[in-house]
Amino acid sequence: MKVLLLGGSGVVGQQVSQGLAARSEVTELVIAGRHRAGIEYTVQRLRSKGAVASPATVDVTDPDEVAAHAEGADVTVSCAGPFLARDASAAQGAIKAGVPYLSLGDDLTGTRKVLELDEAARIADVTVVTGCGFSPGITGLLVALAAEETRTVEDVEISIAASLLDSKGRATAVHFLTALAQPAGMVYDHRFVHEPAASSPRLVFFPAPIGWVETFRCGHPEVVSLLETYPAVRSLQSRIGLEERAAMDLARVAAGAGVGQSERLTRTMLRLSRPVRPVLDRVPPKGARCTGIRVDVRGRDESRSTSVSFGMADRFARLAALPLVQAAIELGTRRVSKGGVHTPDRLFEPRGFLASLIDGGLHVMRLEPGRP
Amino acid sequence: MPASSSGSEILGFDTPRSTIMVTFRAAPWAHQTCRPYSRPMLTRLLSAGAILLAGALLMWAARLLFHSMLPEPEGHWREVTLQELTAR
Repeated sequence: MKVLLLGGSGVVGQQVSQGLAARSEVTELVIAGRHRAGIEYTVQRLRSKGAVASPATVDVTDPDEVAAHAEGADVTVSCAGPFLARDASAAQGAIKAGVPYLSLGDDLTGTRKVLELDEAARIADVTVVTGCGFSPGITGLLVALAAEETRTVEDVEISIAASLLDSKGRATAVHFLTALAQPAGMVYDHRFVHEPAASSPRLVFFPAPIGWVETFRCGHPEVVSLLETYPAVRSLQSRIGLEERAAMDLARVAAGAGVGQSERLTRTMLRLSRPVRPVLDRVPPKGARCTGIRVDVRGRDESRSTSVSFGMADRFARLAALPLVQAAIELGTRRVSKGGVHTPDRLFEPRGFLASLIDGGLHVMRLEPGRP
Repeated sequence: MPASSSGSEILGFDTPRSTIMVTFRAAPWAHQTCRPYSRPMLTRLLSAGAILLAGALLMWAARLLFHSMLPEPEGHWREVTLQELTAR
């Protein structure tokens, strides 16, 4: 199985490349991206471990260029963020080449653009999966798992605890500020509304070693994809918070001042704030050096109201890479194939997929009442 | 004696030893030009700004310290086993 990996030199991209190289199904890897030096470094690391890997310089925003490199591959995997401007163009390229495509796509607007390619993907009979990381991705699968118990789904809340010490990639930082700057699309009282992001603070309890984190509303793609799966949902929202509270306060101020509205402005701001970052890393409370997910689903089982909460805590790169690698194997080997644009929770069977993640070393946690 | 260019009137000269002393009688409006009102106003504004900034920083520090006074956990996290997931 030959894999074209876009954005293979980034933090998550390197983890994905190593994950793919370790799988027996993968025989050849093409590591593609904009920065030749980063790609060469990843390729050298893979070759030193015995993998068959080659570099390719690709502009992910050009669908024709992506299509030219995707020809002959069994699957195209994209870690090339930020996904606002890169997810749809890469998906277009893969559809053009007739090769299955999947991405980490975690941008609300970017996901909408990919979903618009559904008809083209159906006509070409190409399986496209967007949002195949941890949020969206694992979060949607955990909601599906919880929904099995609650029977009806009335309220869904997805919370993310990020850490400055864990996710140091520039694309991640740009995405974080964008999520806080975009209006937060959410479902409130059965209606889809837009509320100001970085508002409505609330403490959320995450699995150890994270604990309590102050979270805020944010614009995230789960709201769009889960609303299609559960159209009768009463409330549905995404929340995000940094474990480093001082940095979170500054990020909210920056988002309020308009940083995050454009990628260039966000990158400039991040460059200027680089000297401050070591100071922020030391201001208490310090982060737990890992990323947390929590999914709360409330529903009704016959006449009584039930609530199910699942969570996960692990290194950011592992949480994002493991589901992407597993999904790439499923699509590349054609074990799963369905023309059109999908989200993981609608394409994969949640129990089997989550079991494969547990097999890969992730821990799925469940919130139980009382003390252990 | 003619008034000086600054509007003050020179009353006389005295030269004890090496020092030349010049005595002035200030013009009635001289204090207005020599002590501009903008200077104390700027000082007052800067002081107020510094006090506000210090207050904001203190409140922010208190907010960060408040993080250690978090509520009791709302439950406990239990690991979902592979058997549990694949049981159905």
